[in-house]
Amino acid sequence: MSNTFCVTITHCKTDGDKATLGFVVANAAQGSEKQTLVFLSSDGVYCAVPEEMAKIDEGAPFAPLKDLVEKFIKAGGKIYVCTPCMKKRGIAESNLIEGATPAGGAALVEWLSNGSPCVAY
Amino acid sequence: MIAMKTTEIPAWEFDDEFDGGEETCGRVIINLHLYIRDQDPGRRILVISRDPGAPVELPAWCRMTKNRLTAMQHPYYLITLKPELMER
Repeated sequence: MSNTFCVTITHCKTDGDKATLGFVVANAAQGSEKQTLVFLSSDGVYCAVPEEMAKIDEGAPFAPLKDLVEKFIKAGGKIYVCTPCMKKRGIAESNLIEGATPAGGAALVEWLSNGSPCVAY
Repeated sequence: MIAMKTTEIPAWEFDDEFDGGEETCGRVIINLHLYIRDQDPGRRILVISRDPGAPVELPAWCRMTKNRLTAMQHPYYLITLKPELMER
């Protein structure tokens, strides 16, 4: 059984439900002692921008996205944010939540090539 | 193991209690993980989770994390933390 896991998320403003679900599953993985990477790309990069993530709240039974992201980071989860996707949207590294790291495709490919399963939202 | 349902806390001996409340899915798991991660191997935790998925979720979590599901009567789960580490 692999000890790593990956969740890719490509939505935030475009689909708060999918962004929320992605982080729910990421929390389940990190909480199950899988070293978990959330890879944010396309519109999903907004999940790492505090003022944007704060706007996503799908309501019960889901927690607000901000709560899910902060808990994931607190539990030791890793967040990579697609750099060209950030650049396209005018998002700087200083705009990201502490604990999120700008990264490119090579970082994702390396993580998956080492045997990590992945689920996409 | 049969996931019997009960309304009363079973007569299990335990050291600590974690109530997952009405939370479901990954919320229960991450909250439980954060609650027990600094506790010693061998401690017995009474986990309460009313998540209807808990009879499937918590056994899977125990298998992945090598915590032992000592008993279960939904919504009550008796989990022994990392017994393999204690026995070394």
